[in-house]
Amino acid sequence: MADEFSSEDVRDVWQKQDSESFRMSLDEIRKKSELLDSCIRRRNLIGLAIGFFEVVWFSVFVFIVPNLGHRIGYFLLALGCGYLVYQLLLNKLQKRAAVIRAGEMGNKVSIEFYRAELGRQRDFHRGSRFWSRLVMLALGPLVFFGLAIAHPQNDRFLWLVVSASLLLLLLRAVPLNLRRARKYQAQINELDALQCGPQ
Amino acid sequence: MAVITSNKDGLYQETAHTYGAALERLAHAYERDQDIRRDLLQDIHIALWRSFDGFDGRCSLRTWVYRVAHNVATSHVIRQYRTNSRSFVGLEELENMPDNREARPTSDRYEALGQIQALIERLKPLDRQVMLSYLEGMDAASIGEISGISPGNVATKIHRIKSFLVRHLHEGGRHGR
Repeated sequence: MADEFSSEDVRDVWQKQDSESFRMSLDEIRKKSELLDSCIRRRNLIGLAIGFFEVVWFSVFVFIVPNLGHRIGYFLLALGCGYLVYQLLLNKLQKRAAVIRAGEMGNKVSIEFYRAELGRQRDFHRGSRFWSRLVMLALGPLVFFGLAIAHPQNDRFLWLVVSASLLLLLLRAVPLNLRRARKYQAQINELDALQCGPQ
Repeated sequence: MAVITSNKDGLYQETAHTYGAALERLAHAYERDQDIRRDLLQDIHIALWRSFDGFDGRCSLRTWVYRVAHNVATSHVIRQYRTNSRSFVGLEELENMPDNREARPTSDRYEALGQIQALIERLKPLDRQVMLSYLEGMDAASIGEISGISPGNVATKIHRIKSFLVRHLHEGGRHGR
């Protein structure tokens, strides 16, 4: 190589780098592809099982506790947990869809694909998906909080602390999620500018 | 268009034969860790094989292959970004970063390759894609067709890449004389 690098030299250096000679036989690809499908199915089942367990766990209390208010609280908690798991699963499924529906990827220019990925993540942190998740998760703690104030009992302090902590956590999640959504939106705006024309 | 075979397996075999080395370089640019890189490369090959069900010849095989490969790699980068909170920079910001101003120019091929790879790893996915495509010898029109970036923006980015790379490596050559 001469003493100086031209832009052609840089390309040459890049293209002539050592290769690890990666190879996959068609049989291997078929097996791995089937494995990928079954792995996703298994993961979804595990997610569903965990969600189902949480819903059942809180639902049990609906029938155990004597107080009607607490029953409603536990029912709403179970509903909130189930809804959260549903959204998480939906998000995971959409994420894996990229590899599963590989056929669509070839027809999609990278900027569109990247934009869709960022859009999906943004929507998880803002808009109807985020607010509905927040409301669903807050309903149960709100009922318990209200009950603790309205009906002084021996364990009133415990209920107050637990439900207030949960509500504060949910409140704290609002600015964090919105900030993250803004970050994704800024990246989407950058991509839109790249598609429109010269800078 | 250089599509010889029409079936899924045939298209995959042709792709592996023609673009195998380029796909390795692509994976190398998206992932430094050898084991994870191998997984990424596997994912790319599996996605390509699966993708040929939907290949209808509306674009060239090369465009198709690079779109699928870059999209799989981009998904990988996004996942890594979420896991490690790594931050990437654009080509515009790269030149103003202090550690790049202090980067040691070189005239050695291996050292140059190391510098190029280190540089690519810091780039945002689309800038990374433009740089990789440029290094693979593609012109602005092909890069635009794969990435979806407007021709004007591709040209601007290529100009930045060229001047940045050559300035760093070229100066090293001068010092090395």
